[in-house]
Amino acid sequence: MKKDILIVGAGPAGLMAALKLAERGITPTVIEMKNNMDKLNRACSMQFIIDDEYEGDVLKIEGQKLVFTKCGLEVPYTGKLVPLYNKYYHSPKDHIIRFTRNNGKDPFSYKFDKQFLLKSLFDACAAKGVEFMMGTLVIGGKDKGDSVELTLRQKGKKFPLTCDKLLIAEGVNASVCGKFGLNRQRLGQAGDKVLDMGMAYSMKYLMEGITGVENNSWNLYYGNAYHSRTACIIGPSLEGDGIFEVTVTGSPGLMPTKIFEEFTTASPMAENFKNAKLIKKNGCGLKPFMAMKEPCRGNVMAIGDCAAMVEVETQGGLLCGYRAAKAVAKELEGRNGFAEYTKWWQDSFEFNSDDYMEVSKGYALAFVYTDDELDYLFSLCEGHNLHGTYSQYLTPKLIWDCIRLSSEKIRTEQPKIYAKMHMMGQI
Amino acid sequence: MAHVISDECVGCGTCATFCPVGAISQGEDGYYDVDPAACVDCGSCEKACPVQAIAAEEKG
Repeated sequence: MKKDILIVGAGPAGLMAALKLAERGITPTVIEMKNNMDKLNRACSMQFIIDDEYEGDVLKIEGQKLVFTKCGLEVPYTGKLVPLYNKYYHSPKDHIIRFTRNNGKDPFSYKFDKQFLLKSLFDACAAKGVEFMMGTLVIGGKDKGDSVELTLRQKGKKFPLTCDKLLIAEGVNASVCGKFGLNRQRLGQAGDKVLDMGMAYSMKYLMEGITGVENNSWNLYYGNAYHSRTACIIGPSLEGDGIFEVTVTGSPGLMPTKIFEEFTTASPMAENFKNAKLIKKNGCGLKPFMAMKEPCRGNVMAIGDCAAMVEVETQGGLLCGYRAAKAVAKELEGRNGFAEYTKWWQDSFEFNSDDYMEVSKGYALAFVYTDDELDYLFSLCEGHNLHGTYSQYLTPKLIWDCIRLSSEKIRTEQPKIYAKMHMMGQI
Repeated sequence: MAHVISDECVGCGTCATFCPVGAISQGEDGYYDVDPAACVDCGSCEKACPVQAIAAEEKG
């Protein structure tokens, strides 16, 4: 059996690509691992980020739709929205760096219901005639030049399926991408050594009864006192005021379940968790890759998270799907849509910029600085509102720009910290 | 011998994306199961699981 277009993955990128292709009269088939779209069990922060120029566009939420004002994409959304006004970075002794947009007058992001959004897109696709193969896994694939052949497994049965063009939108772990050789040279490099970043694990705990945390805010706790190598995060949920999501990230050597236990019982936050109750937990495992420089090869294109440095967020996935549909339609007409997509991909996502790795190193706060040093550095930012929100490129830039205002003071008061900043390229 | 998934499973599906032979699929209840007939015991799923819910089945 041969299909025109196959899409692997019914997430934001895959569904948007399917919908936009179907609207052009090119009806694709979507292959999805899950049995249905009723539940979303994978941990995800679920935010729309409102930073201007984030991922090369300006997102506005107008009435009951998302409007990407630069490219013109509009996506109906009638689910829940929780506006976020403050993001706080906490040091062990609770010195705080505050991020806002327009001094807290405008939300910098909205928590949204991803399951609802995906189900809406799925229904819109089905109404346009998109075919879905649910509960189906991709176990092999080959680009034969004039077509792409996949080996699938569904209900214990193995079978082949062929198509003209394949869109891989499988999400962060990029295993189907690997079957097509698209992950070569995607592990980090330190000098001559290949830097396999192994696995990272995230757990998200929905909880009620946590005290001392502001509603409609993100709170990131940095330092060894919180028992994590990255930030422990308390953020909003969709369940209303007073119900929060606690997110922790670990590795094979330090499992998130252990970090959660220590964060909630033996950290400076333990008191706030004294009467807290767990409602639900989610998790995910992810293998970090560097971004694909060339996401289109032969008859295959990788879109969304599977081509990214970690993630593009839901809005980035929607943009990728929208652009990918255009690119595939052009390719089918014999025009070079893939080249156009590649240029857009390279220009739009911050992790594709040349100095991204250098700048994002500034995020390695708890790795590099001791708890006392973090207290000192965070205290230098108190009284400032950093105008920026979520970008992993912009955020460390803002923090270090603010700290650098006190360079002279640090050099005289804390020469050790000054030397570390120098070593990390922050001065 | 095969790998098995315990009740600790949180249903994220990470294991299924790492299984090289497609032996892991979502069950009726939304959580994931290993098909012992297809499992090649490579251990990829075990490494991928965020809650250590997967282990090699014990003999006997």
